[in-house]
Amino acid sequence: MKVFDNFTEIDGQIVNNQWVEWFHFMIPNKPEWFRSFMRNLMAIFKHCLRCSALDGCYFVSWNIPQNPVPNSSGLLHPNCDCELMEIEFSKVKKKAKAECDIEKFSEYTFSKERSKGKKDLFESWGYSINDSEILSKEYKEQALKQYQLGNYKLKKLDKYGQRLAISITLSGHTFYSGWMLYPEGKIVNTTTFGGKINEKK
Amino acid sequence: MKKNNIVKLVNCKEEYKVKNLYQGIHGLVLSVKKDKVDVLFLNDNNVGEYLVAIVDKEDLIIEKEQIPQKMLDALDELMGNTVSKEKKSLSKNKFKKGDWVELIVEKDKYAKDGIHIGSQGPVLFDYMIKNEVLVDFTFVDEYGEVYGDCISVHIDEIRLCK
Repeated sequence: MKVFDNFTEIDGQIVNNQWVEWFHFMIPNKPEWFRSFMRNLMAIFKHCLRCSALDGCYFVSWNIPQNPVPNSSGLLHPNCDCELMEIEFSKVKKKAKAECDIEKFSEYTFSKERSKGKKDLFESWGYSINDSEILSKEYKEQALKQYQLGNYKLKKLDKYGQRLAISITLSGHTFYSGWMLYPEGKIVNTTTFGGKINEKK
Repeated sequence: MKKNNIVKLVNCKEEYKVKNLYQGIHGLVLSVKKDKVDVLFLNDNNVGEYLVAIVDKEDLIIEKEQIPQKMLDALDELMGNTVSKEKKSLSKNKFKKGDWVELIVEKDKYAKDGIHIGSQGPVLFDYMIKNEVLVDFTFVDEYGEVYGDCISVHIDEIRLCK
């Protein structure tokens, strides 16, 4: 590993881009069926499904799920036996990938009945259902880049896994999109619009 | 075939189908008696659910993956206390990825995320976890403000919309 491998530039600043892999014992990353099998088996024995969902997930070291109980032992909860393992950024760059179904746009965002407000927004920015493929590709590229820079917000964590909010910029509008984090840096889009950046709540 | 092998059901006979076992389901061999195998099947479609069933050896193949020895040591002890053999069948997911569903209950646990009875959204994945599916209930108002969230909901608390 080169000395500067784990440093990167974000918004003009050089930051530590040290990454970690969440580790819960006995949960393999692959093959997928075996991961599911072992998660299932561990669940029978009351192991935490949030922790087993996090196993294998990559996080930048300064942006990881936290134990909400102050001064408690354990990464996520009392008696949590998860660990963090440092990994090289080059591994994240090599393995991370983003998935965003075209149907997210063609079947929902631009659907008259099922857009739930998103259609008007995207159309006001100059996009239509015909742009679904382009938007899917754009989301994948932008989200992957932001994730690899550590530019993600940790959102809900439950037995399905860790959700991330990642910024997307379209036609000069920057907003959050919703993603599910999987092992080895795989992110899968869950929602195309998750709120304007800097909006007041 | 022997105890603790991980196996896959490759011939799903009618007698297995009534238990909602399915082609390709994986399980852990608990014991082998001549041509019959006692298997702990784990439901891929509903994480956290299992069924102990006796199947014919010829209907299974052994996977090359193995459970680490240190877990097997603990497994024997836990198996007797934790695993019930009473369950008669696995549950089936009423929903699939992309189904449009509506929340039919009003509960605090959903309301705290801004999700109320009548909220609608797509199911995000084909599988359940402990009888819950993940649904995208986010919506955007006329000012571009986002409400709701992607949350898991019990399958008895949503209905399929046409």
